[in-house]
Amino acid sequence: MVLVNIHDYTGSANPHIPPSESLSHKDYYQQISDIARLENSERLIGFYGQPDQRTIDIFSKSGYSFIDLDIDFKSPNQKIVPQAYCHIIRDIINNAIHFKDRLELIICTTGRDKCDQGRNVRDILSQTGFRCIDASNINQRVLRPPLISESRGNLKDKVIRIMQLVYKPLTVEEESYYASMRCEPSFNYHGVPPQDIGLLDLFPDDCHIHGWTRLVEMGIPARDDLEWTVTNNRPTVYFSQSFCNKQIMAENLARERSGLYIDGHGMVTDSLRAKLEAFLSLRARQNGSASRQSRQTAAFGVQS
Amino acid sequence: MIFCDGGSSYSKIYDSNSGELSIIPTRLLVKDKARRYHYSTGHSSKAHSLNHINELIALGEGSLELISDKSFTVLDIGSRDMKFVSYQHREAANMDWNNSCGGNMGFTLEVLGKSYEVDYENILPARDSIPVTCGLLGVEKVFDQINQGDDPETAIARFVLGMAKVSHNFCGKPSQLYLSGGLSANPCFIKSLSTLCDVKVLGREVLLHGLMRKAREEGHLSHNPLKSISGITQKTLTFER
Repeated sequence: MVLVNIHDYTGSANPHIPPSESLSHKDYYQQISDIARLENSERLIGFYGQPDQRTIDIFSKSGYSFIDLDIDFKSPNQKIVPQAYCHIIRDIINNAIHFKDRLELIICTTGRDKCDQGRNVRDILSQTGFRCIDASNINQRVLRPPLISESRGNLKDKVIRIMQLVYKPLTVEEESYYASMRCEPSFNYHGVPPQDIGLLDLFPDDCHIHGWTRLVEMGIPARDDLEWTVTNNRPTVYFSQSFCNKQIMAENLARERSGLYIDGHGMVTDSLRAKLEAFLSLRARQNGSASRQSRQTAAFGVQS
Repeated sequence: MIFCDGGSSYSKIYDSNSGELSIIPTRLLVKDKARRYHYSTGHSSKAHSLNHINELIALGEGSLELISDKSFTVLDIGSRDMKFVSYQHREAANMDWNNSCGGNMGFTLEVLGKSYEVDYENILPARDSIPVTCGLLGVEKVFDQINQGDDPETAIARFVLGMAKVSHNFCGKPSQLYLSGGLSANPCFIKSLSTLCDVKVLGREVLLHGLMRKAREEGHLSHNPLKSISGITQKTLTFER
């Protein structure tokens, strides 16, 4: 059974092993363990998306630290990615090249758990000389309840914490905290973490998280069928990065559910900020009646 | 209380104590650094206001104040930008604000009108349009048309129809549209837009109404005094091809 693919784990002259040469489940994890044992754990492991958890755990136990290449670290533009292209994809490649000397290897996500560009990124990085492990996360079983997604608190902080779950599990204290902070939502945020994460500061604290970010918290980023689900009837902001293939989903969901579709490329513009503020303000009027209905809505209808 | 809708070219100011409504070129106001407003919206007034509200919110609130329809779309086109809010069952369903590539329409029309000494009151809507991307991308085609022998009125009318099409697309091509902002005072634009949908003209004070609605909700006003004096008319303008 082929679950994951591995690329250039041997550091051979051929930098790219095509997917057809994928390893079995058992062989794959054995080789990951071998790599983790042999390599220099003082260097960083780069990753993008939410990779296969067991792969991450193996490197984590060997003492590696991780760097999420999806994040905007203001790395210099390498001009590999076109200007009019998803900014997150551009960040991954710019970050990888910028931190090249500190990276041991890069764990890639290339399946339904990421976006279609994950494969292109893997191939570009591989051709650029990086050692890449293809560790797409195909897990279908819910690993965690959406405690953070349904808690009260600063939306930006909640989203950042969710993305850190890749390599930093919730402590028992955090689990208790987020469970105690569970709230009824006034709004929902649906989408990936925006490249300009400051966008999230505009949302109220009682905003629930849906879409890909929620799936990451639950450990099922490949359940893209659930990206079409919002579990309450509150007004929802559907965000996608400009030039992302999730735009079509976000726009359709917003239209069908009378939500707000927004997309952003780079810094949050005044226009985007104004649109979002207006939606949150004008829709706040209807929330009194909606909240009563929402309490009767099931917590989350996921089939694991 | 003093309310201000501070647009890029013109500021609309209402003093609820005196009942005076003024429309003043913003370039004259910006010299007064000490000016203060109780409620304001718009680019030029933010630093001078106790309560600043973003323009989309002011438009949405103002349109709810003036329009009794359950579902409607209101489009505001000013000098620099355009914005719309759509309501379904009086719930905000969609909105957008374009202050870059959809903007500058009002400003460009004013400059064109002054340059060619054209009175928009006297221009008939065109039957076909100049392709327009925004208020700036497309204006060179007006000059091309004039150089090729068209009279300025004809070329500008075609440009205006192009703008009307961009505006109509921008707000989702509704069959009926409430129009506010500076361009709602341009007869050629209204007639051109009326070839695409029914147009109901709200005038230039809609955002002021939004500010007053906010002030009333926050307990600073007992009623909207502007509503009784501003003479808002909602007439459907249609144009027969």
